[in-house]
Amino acid sequence: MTKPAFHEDDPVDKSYDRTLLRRLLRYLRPYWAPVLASFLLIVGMAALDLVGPYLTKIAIDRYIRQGNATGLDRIALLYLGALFLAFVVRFGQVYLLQMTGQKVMMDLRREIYAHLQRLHVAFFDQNPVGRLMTRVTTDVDAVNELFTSGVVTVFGDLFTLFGIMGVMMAMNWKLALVTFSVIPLFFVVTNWFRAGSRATFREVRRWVARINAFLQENITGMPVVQLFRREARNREAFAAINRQHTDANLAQIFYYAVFYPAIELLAALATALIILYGGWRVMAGTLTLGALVAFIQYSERFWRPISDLSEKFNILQAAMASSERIFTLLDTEPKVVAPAQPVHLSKVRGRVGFEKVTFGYQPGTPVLQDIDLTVEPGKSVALVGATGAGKTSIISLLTRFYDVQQGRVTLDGVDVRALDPAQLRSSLALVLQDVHLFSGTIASNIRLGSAIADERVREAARAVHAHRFIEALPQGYETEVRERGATLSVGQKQLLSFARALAHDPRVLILDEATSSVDTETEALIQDALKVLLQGRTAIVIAHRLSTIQHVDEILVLHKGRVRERGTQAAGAARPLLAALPAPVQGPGAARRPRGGGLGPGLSGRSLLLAVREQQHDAARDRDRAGPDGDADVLLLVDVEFQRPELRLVALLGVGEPVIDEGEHPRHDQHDCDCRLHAVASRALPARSEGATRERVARSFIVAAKRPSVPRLRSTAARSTSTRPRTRNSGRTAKRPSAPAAVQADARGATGRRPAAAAGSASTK
Amino acid sequence: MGLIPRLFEAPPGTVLVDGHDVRDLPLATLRGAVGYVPQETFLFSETVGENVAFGLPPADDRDERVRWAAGVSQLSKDVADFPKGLDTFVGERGITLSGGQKQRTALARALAIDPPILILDDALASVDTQTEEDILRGLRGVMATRTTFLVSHRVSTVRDADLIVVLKEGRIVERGSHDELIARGGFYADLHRRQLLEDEMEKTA
Repeated sequence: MTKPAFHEDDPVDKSYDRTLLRRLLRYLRPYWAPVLASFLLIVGMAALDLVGPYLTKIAIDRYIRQGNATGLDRIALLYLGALFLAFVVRFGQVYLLQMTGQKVMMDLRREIYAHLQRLHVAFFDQNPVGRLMTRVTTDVDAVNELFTSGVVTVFGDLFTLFGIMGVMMAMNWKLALVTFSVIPLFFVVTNWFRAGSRATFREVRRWVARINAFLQENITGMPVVQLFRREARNREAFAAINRQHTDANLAQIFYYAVFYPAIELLAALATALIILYGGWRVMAGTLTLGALVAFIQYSERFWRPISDLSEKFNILQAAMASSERIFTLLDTEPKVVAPAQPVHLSKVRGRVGFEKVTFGYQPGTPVLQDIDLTVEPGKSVALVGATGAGKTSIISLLTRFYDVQQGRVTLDGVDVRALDPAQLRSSLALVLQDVHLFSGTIASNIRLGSAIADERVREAARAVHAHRFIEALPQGYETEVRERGATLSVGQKQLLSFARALAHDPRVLILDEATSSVDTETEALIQDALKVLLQGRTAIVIAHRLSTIQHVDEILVLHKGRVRERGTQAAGAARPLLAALPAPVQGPGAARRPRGGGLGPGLSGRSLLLAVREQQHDAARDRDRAGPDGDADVLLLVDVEFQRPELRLVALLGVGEPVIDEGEHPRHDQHDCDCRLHAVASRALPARSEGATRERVARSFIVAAKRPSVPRLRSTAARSTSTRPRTRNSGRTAKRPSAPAAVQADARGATGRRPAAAAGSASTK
Repeated sequence: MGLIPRLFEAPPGTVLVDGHDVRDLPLATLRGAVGYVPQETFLFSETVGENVAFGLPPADDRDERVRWAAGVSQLSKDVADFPKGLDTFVGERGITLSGGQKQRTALARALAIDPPILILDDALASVDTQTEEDILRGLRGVMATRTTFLVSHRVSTVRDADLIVVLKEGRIVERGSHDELIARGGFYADLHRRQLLEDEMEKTA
């Protein structure tokens, strides 16, 4: 079988490692008092065990053989008393020890879990869930065995052993030595058993691990197994593993089957020797009959701790192997660690930088190469690229799920590796494709453990259009999320995750947009919510939707881990069209800030391109609708039906004057529309301009955009700057004077017809 | 879609394959005739090749069919980049592959058994439109000779289908060919308008 060593849970090839044991004992330290008490009790118990045979000896020698019955009842009572005391002591000892064991387990599990939380994400790629679960459950249980039936009990056994040996030697050293003569044989048998059972024990564990792994995978993947009719073959595969498991168990059983009878044989041999030699001595009068009976009894008790020790050897071995695995896990240094002296940013502004970043999940196969990227505070960038281009990796580096191999990733100019991870992650919010909901209420899923007031939770939900569906749930915000939100639709989960991000109000938003489509209505809600979410935040978006891409400031096209095109160059094929576009207008009083190849601030070339193309599409359609008799040269039409009223604004700001066709589809309520327009306006305007000025300029644009009669264009002549809203910076047109003409030419070329406007619908409105 | 290979049970006499109630067909025959690409990809922790060959009996032409299936599903492109090609191990539940690669593997797995019925249950959702187009182009020849069910939210995926069924809340709201549905101007036409644009944009990107 060429299975990867992925699921294997091979026992570690080390047995009694002293350092390991010392480390384990450290866990007992907080419980030294019960451990000590238990230890004392076990010594007492061993001592009480010694009393019985001795009392037997006295009873025989002093009373029975002398025909003296008077004291016999007292001896019998003493014997009973000793046994009863032994019972009480044993109870106390077992209880104390087990209690301690449980507490140690609790501590150990807590420690492992806490450690797991600190580990870097890559660790979880390499370690299957099943294996880690085993650490926290089975392995910890095995270590518990070590404490409860191991360490302390071993001392008890040893004490009993040496106690018996001492008493025997004291009673009759010659007979004692005769008894001990069997011990070497005993060691031979024990060694053979230990070696054999150790090997088989490991085999058993390995096959148990295989069975677990196999079952886990096959149960999860049962639909696939059934669909591809693999039942028979997988049943065979399972049977093979199962057979191996059984064989391993049988091999182990063989050793046990030989060991115990062999021990009993040896014990019988010892007893035979005692009877032979002791009987001869009794007859010779050099040994009392009571001593002989006591010897026989002691000898029986003598082998018990020894065979117990051998048997426990396996438990201890397993426990050691488990503890070694636990410690290996605990010793796994998180690769992504908090710096010793983290830089604390007094205020996170949200400037994100990637400087010559190279990164790969496996050494030698870089997933990202030479990535340079700067996102200014409040700006947004979209990552676009085929699957496997490295989009997700960029996000993982910023969140420090992984660390770079070369270059650096910065937040506000500081290397993320130097930052306090708590601060880094609290300034980021990650909205993933696959929304992970925890068990708990809707509200607790928005809060995610942070102390966020009810009102803010609701506000956030309202802002991202999640409020309505949440309110419609049986218990509103207090509705329990079941089965990871199985009852919620994909779109609802998306909105919920948006609310979550908004409630935490991060400086930097990371959004891995969901690819799965949702119904159009929800789609509109999501897009709208997205705008709210992006507002005023640095955002890195893995974009899959045109409408999203359109809202960002810069676009990065990734290809096989490299930035292939960015910003305006992203337009690639359509560069001529782009070049023909006029730059978006600067607001009055705003500093000019050429960005993205001179296309102006705010909106990148690509988003403009997209906007324009969408408009062209509409224009073409509307031309068709109007027929060849249309009397106007309509350059651009913006359709509210596309739920992008902001396109009008885009057009107003930079492209040309569109004719608005909103007669048929007044879909959006006034407030929504205003929000959207406002968002576009404020992003289209330079960030550096004064807040108040910006606000005013934005408002003037919005007013212009909403006035249906203004943005209408009929001829090339009408497209001159003079017809544009007054607020424009006319200096810009000098740079790209031919823009509208080019667009028009393009539009006409597509249909080979004079574009005709749906002028009627626009003007009658 | 789960009703056809009887992952779920439909009422008797409601789901028919070649005129037979699926309940009356031997399960092995039925499922052997269906190549299913599920919405959520599940791969086994074996090699990529083993995963593609998942539904194949051990036979001489196994490798050949795996290669063919990998080619049609565009998986071979990815495989060429893998260190050990088809013998590259897929980590537990396919974690070493990207989402798209996993899906292409699942597609190749379904194709490898050469089924007369092919079901793509929203299987191309997580690949980009370019890859989707490549895959669909590769599939065209394969689809010509078999019954194919394409489940998708994308018009581009389904537009060439002989029959398009628009489902809403568990009910069929529209059915017809692409052109018929466009002409009707209903839900589908609306979706189409929207997506045509996006596809156009993607192509220029």
